[in-house]
Amino acid sequence: MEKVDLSIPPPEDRTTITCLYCEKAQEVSRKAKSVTCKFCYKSLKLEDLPFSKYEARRTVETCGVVIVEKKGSLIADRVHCGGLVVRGKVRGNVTSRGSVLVGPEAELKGDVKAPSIAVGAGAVLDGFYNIGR
Amino acid sequence: MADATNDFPTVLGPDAIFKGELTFEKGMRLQGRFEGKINTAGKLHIAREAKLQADVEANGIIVEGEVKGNLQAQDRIELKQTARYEGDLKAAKLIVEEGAVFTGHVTVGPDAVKMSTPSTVKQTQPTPAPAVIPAR
Repeated sequence: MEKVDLSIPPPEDRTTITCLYCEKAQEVSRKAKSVTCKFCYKSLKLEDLPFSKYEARRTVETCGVVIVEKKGSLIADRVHCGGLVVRGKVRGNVTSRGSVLVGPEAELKGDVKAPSIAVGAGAVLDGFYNIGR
Repeated sequence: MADATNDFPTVLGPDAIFKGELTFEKGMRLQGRFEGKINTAGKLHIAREAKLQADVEANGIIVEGEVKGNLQAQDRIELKQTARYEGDLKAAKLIVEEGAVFTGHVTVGPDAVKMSTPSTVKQTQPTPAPAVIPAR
């Protein structure tokens, strides 16, 4: 299996993503919306997922960013993403590879694991947090 | 410097180790080690070199050092870039700088602290006088 050297930037038409399951880095085309992991063969969504209304899902998985708009309300057992932006409401356990941004007056209820978090004034949070580790 | 002194008139220096319960009115800057409990209507600043192992109830808390324990703030809790925190956190507002590391249960919002704030004044109901039954 080809190993990706993270110190060398990928060509302009390609980008490096990390598999949500096996956590191995690999280069993919920037235009791709989904890809199969070269290591564990799991299907990976690459696009950002916006939610602007009420939606209930079992799991939400993407290497991109999950964006819950102001009028959006996302209820999921599990959210596994490359980043999360909450302007509305999210209920569910979140595992993010990137930053979690919780806007003012937004609501995030559930356990959260992420490298960093930013919380706006007036936001409501409730859950077990594991940030930075 | 004068403003900082006014905000945090009480200072526990870097060579100090305090074990027990502490209460103060305005604000305190912790630069040393503290174990026990802190209860204040003022602000608490845990400096970068400080180590705190305590449950804290304050108006505002700024964390730059190492903290283990439950934090509760009426106003806000700020976790700076060098903050290392383990424990449960309750506050009306939370500010987290990039680089801060924390693990624990978080409850943030306007109602987060109102529900859990115990009343400081206990109201005792007068015990009713026993009924007097006239002898026959």
